[in-house]
Amino acid sequence: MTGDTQLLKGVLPMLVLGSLRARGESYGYELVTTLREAGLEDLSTGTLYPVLARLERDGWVASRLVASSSGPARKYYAPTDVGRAELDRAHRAWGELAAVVTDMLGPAPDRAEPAPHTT
Amino acid sequence: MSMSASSAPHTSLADRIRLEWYLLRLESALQDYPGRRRKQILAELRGEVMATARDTGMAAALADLGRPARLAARYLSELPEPRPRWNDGAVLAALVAFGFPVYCWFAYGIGASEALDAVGGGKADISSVFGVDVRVVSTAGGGSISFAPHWGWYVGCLVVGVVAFLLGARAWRALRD
Repeated sequence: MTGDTQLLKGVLPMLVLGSLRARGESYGYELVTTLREAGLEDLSTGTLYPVLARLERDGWVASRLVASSSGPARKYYAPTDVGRAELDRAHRAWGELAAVVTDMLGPAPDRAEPAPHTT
Repeated sequence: MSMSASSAPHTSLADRIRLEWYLLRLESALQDYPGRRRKQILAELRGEVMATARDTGMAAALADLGRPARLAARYLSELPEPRPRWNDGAVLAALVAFGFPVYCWFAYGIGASEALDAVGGGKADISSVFGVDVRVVSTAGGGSISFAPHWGWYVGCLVVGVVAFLLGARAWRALRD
């Protein structure tokens, strides 16, 4: 959906927290899959894992290891109370920002068709 | 939290080697990341990639992470403030302290050799070129250049390296602010 890496970097923590709140808890690769299915087709684990590390360092998510009989233990993440409060704050801020953008620019245009190649 | 990742039963030796090689490169690129947390990240990634590889294959799991240097840059960019790049500074200081004088010796030695050639060949002992004795021999059959550093040269290089490091650190702080 969005190929704008700067824009994605700004909203990804909010989307990760939102996804975790919806699922209860999840692990890294499952989060990537969920967000890809939601429209972030280009999202990679290499983009998500550093964000998860920051959210955990800041105390917005907590983690626990879940052992597996068929392989290595996986790290599951869940939002903390602080993380939920931060998500609400970020969601409000996003709504206000989106309203300003819509006021200034009007509704988003339809996706443009690629221009034909001319030689 | 510590990570105690165990091997997946069907992870091949080749895949383990690819994963460890990737993590080695990542660890190298993460040298400036806080130590304890760096080890934790590497252990977590090892477990996560091995688990993901069961679904996607090791090649796809590693490709999804991207190049180690780029992944390291992403981890570093998530830190609260830019970390001092000690390793980059040390490499740069070493290049300035040792690389530059070595370059100068060779340039000086080649110049001296050509000067001897121009006067018909011979031998020249030149003392203390940047703290190094240089002997240049040029004959009809060929030539040689030898260098003999004094202990003072090592001290001089060390001082130059420290000064370069400190100046670089100041410049880094100034550019960061």
